Amino acid sequence: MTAEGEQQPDAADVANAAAEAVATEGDDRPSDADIIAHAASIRDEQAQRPLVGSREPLSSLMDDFVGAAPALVSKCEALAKSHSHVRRMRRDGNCFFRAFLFGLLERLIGRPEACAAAKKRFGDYGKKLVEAGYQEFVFEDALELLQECIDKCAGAPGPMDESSVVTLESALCDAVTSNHLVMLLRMVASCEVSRRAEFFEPFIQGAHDCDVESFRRRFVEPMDEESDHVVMSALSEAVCCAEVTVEYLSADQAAAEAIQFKAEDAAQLDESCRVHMTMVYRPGHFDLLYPQ
Amino acid sequence: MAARLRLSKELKEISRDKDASLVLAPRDDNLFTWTCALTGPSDTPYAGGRFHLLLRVPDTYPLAAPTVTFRTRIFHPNVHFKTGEVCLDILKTQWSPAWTLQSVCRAVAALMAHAEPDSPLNCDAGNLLRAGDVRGYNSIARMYTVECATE
Repeated sequence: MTAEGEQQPDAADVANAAAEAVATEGDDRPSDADIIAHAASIRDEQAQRPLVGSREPLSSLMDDFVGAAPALVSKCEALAKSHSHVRRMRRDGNCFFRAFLFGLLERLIGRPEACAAAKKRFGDYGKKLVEAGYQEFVFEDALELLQECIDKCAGAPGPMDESSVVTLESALCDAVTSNHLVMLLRMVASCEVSRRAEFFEPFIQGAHDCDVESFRRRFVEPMDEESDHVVMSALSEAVCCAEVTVEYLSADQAAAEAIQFKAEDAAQLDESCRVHMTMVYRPGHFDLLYPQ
Repeated sequence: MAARLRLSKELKEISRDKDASLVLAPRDDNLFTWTCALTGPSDTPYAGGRFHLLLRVPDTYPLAAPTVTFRTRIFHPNVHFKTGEVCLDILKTQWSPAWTLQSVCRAVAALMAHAEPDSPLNCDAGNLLRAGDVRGYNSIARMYTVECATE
């Protein structure tokens, strides 16, 4: 029985072989199972990486594209003229929010005046969230957490103080802290989209073919959803003191293109309260950039 | 820890806002398992029935959604007839941490009144509605309400 049994090909093997035959026949398209397995392997690989990486020389960004995308290598070379380092975010769909969060807090280090302004801005935004119908208890803990992070930045001895940056890195690599702060920023961005619904509506309609309400529900508030122009513009508008420059790396443009997101009333803020950060975008992902 | 803190706030909020048609409470003082007794919405075949839900809350709540199952048998396109599993967008891809267990239960009640027959977990119920046989759907759903959800 056993000897015979071993001779028999396993039913599952037969099925697999048949599936492979189908997959390799005709076109080279991967099967659904291949796609699911590939997506899972990317997710697992990303889960090994820190939520916020450490500062790396810009050449490491270039290494991503050597061989794969020559057009992007030359754009990286152009970026290298004005930027020295990159800080990678985990590719989990929250990269824009996490880069914004880290960029903001890192640039508040050792600047008590800017910290006070940012803290007030977020505190005031809490009231706007309540006005917009959010229940206070869904965001108050995260808001408190953010205020504490800002306080720590305010207490640092000077801008970009090294040990404070390290403390911030480890705080934002902690999944609970980091994700709750991302959650808060997502609610803030979502609320801002709703407050300026009339302005954003045509962009949302054009890009996603849905109304403002479902856009917020599907793409802004849920964790791990990638961010687009609308979200970026809404968040910098809401936070006001933060100005974000995004360097676009895409293969179909001649030169790297920079786009600025800046709140309309940012001009009223004193320069001592403002924060400037730069991100690099390649399709599907944001990292932080450091100017020379 | 963050989940526990949030859940205890929700518990406090619920005790402040009593609603007889939606009685939500943690089971056996375990904040990560809740039960809800829902009154079937009026003007639906579920009207007058009392439906029990079980909510399981993950450690990462509210970043991740709770899972909701019907413990009372119900004939509805978006509820699995045998397991009670619920198909609702906000519990899957459209979950937002701004939702609470209470608003989730309200969304389930809203789903009872407005079924989405195009994504059915109960194909029999879905097919009746898609074929326009509202009367057939209503009578079967009503029968199960009387049989299983009337205390």
